[in-house]
Amino acid sequence: MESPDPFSEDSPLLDELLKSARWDGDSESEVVAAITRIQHRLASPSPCAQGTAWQSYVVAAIAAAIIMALMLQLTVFSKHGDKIAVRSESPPVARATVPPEPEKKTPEPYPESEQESELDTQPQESMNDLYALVLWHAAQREQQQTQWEPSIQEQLTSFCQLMHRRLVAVQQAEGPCLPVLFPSQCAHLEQQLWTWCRHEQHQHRAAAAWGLGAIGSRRSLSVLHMLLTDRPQVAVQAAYSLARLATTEELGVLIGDQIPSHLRQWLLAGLVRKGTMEATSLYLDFVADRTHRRDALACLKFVPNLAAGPFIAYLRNDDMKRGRAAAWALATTPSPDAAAKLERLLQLDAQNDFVWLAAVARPEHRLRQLLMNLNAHPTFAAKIRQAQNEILGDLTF
Amino acid sequence: MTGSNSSDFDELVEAHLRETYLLALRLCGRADLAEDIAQEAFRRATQSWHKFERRCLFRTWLFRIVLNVFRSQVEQKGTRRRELEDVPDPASGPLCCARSKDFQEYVGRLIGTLPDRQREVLVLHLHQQCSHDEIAQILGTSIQNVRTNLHLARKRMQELLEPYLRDD
Repeated sequence: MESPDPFSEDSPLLDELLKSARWDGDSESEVVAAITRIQHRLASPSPCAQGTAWQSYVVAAIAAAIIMALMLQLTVFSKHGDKIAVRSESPPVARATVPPEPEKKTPEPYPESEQESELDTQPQESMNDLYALVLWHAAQREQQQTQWEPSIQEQLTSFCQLMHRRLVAVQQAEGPCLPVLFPSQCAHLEQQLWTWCRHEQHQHRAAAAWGLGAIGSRRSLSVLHMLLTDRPQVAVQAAYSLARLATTEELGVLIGDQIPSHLRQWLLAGLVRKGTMEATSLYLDFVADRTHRRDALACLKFVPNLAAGPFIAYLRNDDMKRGRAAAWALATTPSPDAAAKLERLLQLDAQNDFVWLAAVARPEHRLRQLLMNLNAHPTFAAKIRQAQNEILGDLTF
Repeated sequence: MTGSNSSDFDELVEAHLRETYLLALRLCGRADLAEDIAQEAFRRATQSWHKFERRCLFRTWLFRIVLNVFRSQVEQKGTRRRELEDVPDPASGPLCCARSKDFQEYVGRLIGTLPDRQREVLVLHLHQQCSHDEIAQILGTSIQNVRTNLHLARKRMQELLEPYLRDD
């Protein structure tokens, strides 16, 4: 039993006031939401569950593989950072030492770096992007090519420490500690990035715009939208991030807006990357629309690994307008998947005019060889000639 | 006897999720940081569960971990204390104040301005309903030290809330 407290002031009113204290985040709904999130994060709360041991190893192995890939990229950046920066003209984080480009010069759309194309093939893209962001900053700092202002430096240091802790944890194969930046931390960084989006130096604004695409949420859409009218270097990064965060419908509206052609191409590429039938359908509408066709087809070079499935579906659909647009897209895309699928279709569905339309414009040797063989047949020869004439007319702007 | 039973651990974690999050929130005053502190505390608890010898309550053990995580976070980030803006008008009287959401949030921020140990003792005692003995175990200090800190915290809060405690 507890002895009486000699220090107790016996002030019920004070205690009542103190007990009534509230904090942001302690309303019932917020507490429930927070607990749910914590539960989700605790991937394996049972430390001695025998049955889940193998899962921990699998998770750890996957995480280790991802991290090794990213560390390899870091090494590449460290060794060839300058070359990459020069080649791409717009690295993920523009360096302060690079003099700003003149306003008049329209930059190329932000090219897919080696880093991104590698990440796109990974199953957990957002996680990898996040690591890439942190690694990129870490690499930049270590090279001492950028002098960040103290507040940014502090943030970067804290996130680098966080990353390091996660890496160590994964190496020790600790089940419950997966290498994920928690949602709340993302939210905190996202808010910090909003501040950076207003930074007077455009390099910082560009970096922030890129960062929001990697870890931001839909709350960042309005911030990014405003940056579309910023300097070209910033606007390109904003378009890149918008393409990742906006819904299909929102992208449709943005693409239809009065924006520079190279920004529209990035938004269209984002639409194509979504890969859903809804997004493909909307994209094909833009291809069919003569006003936007040039940008819609030009954007395909930014999606080199396009999944051709939805486009093939439209080739064989009753919707003639979108079917023709799909043929143009399949004729233009550098995707190897498109070539392989068209080759197979020529052998299975040789009566489909759109298949011929798409196939005759492709440069692949195997496909051209197949067409030459089919050309020996009078019916097919006529289809090939007709398709060649059509595609020339259709794709001449 | 060590705490090696996994189903026990699952149940204990489940039962203490809410308390742990709220303790973290009351200590740091920020929902996002509180989630991370709670998460990190459970992670450490998971790792150390096999060492838990049940010489104290699970809650006591867990709260001690929360305190440690909180302190290390504060040490790293150094951004604990918050500005006191929108100070409520004391003229409306203590009971009106106590029922006002703004005032309740103001008190929460006031508690955040207390020195670390005083705040920890006050939160554990008033908001987590821990006994002095339990607080002493959580903080790794003496009961006398707990009482002293609680006294100082109360005194400080009485000074800060003085305009609202008048029965005008």
